[in-house]
Amino acid sequence: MRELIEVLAKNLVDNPDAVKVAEREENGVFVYELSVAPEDMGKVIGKQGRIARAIRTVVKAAAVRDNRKITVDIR
Amino acid sequence: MATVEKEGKTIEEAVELALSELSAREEDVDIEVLVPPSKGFLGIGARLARVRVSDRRGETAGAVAGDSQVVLASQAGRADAGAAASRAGQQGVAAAKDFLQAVFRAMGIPVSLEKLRSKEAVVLNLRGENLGVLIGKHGQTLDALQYLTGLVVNRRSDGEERTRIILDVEDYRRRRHDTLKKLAVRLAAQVKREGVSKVLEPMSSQERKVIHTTLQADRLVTTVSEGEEPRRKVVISPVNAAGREPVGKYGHNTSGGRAGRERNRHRVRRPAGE
Repeated sequence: MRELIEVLAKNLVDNPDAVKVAEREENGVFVYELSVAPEDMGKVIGKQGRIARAIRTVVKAAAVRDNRKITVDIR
Repeated sequence: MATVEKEGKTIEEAVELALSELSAREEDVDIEVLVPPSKGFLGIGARLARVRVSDRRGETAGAVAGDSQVVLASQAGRADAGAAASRAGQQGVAAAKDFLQAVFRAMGIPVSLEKLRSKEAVVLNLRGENLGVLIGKHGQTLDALQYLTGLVVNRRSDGEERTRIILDVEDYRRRRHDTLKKLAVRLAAQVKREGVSKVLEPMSSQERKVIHTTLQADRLVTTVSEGEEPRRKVVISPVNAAGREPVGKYGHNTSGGRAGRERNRHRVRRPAGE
């Protein structure tokens, strides 16, 4: 799952090296925290969060296969 | 770059023939479906599939510039796109394939990509086992993946040379297209019978377009999109009995070339790029 989020983010930003994904579990929910270079924030969020929404949709589809509850935070 | 065109009862069969003539494997070639097969009805109107298969091997190894230009130009003549644009398209397709393969590897789903080129876009068909998960509810996941792929492919190009990428899984897009058309026709009939407007569920811009175009020729109803993305929806309304247009909120818009009473029908406020 981390790998997937990394692949998605790295292909969208200008500074792929700055892409980091931290994983933690909170009450059975896997929380992924995506961080990118400050100037790349727009590239992973998009107008009205459209890109962020698309990332979450794809990641959630992958999580369904693993039977996992997940959320993706961007900071 | 060797290119052959072959016919067969199915696309697979035609591709097979082309591959054996080129003695190439499927990974080595670009496949373009020129004519999809049709079974016809009771054997009437049946037609063979026709595909064009281009061998990509050696293309990057600096094939004689003159040669490849001739091939590109002859293809471009057909697709009425310049050689440069078609080359940009090729790069776009390669970028899309790389990105998607990386995504599917990370998801742990084996998927093979088949490229079909339609008039205004590159269609990538995803093939594999149990790909329903990639479609999602009403194609949500497929749309998200398609949107992201488009962003990745066009990230470095500014405006002009955008490559439109369409993703499909197991013919989902065509099936959904048919479903939407039927829905549009059915609801339009209801609108005419009952004389009241019907609001459809929220849809993506592409899906809304299917509804609009399906009902475009119907003079007894008019369609507009309302609401904000991602919850924009189509409203089908009756045109009043005298055959005159309803005075809609978009009635002031006088651009466009259609004359007379056709002018403002189906005038849709669309976000850029729809």
